[in-house]
Amino acid sequence: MAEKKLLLGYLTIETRENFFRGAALVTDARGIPLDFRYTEPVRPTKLERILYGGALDIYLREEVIMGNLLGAVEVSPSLWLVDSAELIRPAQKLTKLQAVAMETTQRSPLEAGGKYEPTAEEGVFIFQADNISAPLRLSVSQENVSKMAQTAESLAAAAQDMELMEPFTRIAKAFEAVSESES
Amino acid sequence: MPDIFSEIGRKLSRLFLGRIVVRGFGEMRRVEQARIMTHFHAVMINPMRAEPRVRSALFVKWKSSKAVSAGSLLGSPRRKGFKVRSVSLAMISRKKNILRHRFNISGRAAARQGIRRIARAPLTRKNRLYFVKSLPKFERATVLALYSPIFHEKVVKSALDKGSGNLLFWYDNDRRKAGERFHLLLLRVFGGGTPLKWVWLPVNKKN
Repeated sequence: MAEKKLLLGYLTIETRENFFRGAALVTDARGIPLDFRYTEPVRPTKLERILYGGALDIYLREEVIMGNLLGAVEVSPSLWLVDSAELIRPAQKLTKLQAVAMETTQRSPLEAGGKYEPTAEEGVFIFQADNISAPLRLSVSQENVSKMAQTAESLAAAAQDMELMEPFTRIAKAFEAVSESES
Repeated sequence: MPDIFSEIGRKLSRLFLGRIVVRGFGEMRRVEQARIMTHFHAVMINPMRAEPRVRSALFVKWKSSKAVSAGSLLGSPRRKGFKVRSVSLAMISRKKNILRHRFNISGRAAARQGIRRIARAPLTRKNRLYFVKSLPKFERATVLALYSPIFHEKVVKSALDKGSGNLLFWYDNDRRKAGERFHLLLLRVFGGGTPLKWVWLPVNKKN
């Protein structure tokens, strides 16, 4: 019963040389989309780059794009999965929900799905989501290190029905579709 | 008393052969007042500088013309009929609004609803054969790829991306019943018949 209620939020910010854009996708535990929000590419002008200076990237990512996306999402997930550790803190601040950065690895699998082990970096874990994939690298904020067992259990439950990293691929495809429709 | 002054005035007038007009005291006061009034009327306030010669300003939007840089105004033949007007306080106060519009980055990153768009995007499964420890044996066939987990009953369409080797498929998102999870195996069959075969295999919870 608890498995069915688990909702996963995927958040990504694409940063390229001349534009920024982001998307937030909320899925059920099978990967079925329940809510999806995206922003158009934001291209800062030369004047804005000069005036904002080094703060422009952070301002655009954290306040502008994430603020707009997370404010617009109507289906609240159980936790947010982000593709960069830089997004953990602002995502948690904006949503008051736990955020976990998730990346693929080339490491050999751990002994069983649901297992995790800490790394030398604080708040970074190697996590085996299921029995037929490479382990993932999970990063959590310092205050959520103690919740890692619960986080691993939730993600392992979701991994029984879906590929955990797959929604990021779907978001990338959606970005492509948006770009094609605009050109 | 006024008669005495008038009489003295007439006598003095005769004495100086009319070269000097001497008037009564009352008349003199009226003249003085009149001169003072005239002086007031003569007061004029003039601008301390020449006529405004502002051709353009980045922060002011003139009448129907857009706020542009001076360079573009001077270089554009269409601007020849451009009228120069003085800058009022109200116009200068528009600076704030224009600047706010120019730096409204947040407005340019408004979140859009895209649930229909993402629903059309296929789900993807990578080939996980490398990680599978045990598989059933197939006669005269070998497993080329394994895609998992997939809810077989919800799949409405699927395609193999031959470039990446990934399986693309679409779920029927309106179908509530998901059914059981399956592995989808791609087999290479030796001997006659079709060389490739797809096999659905229920997921063993231990796998």
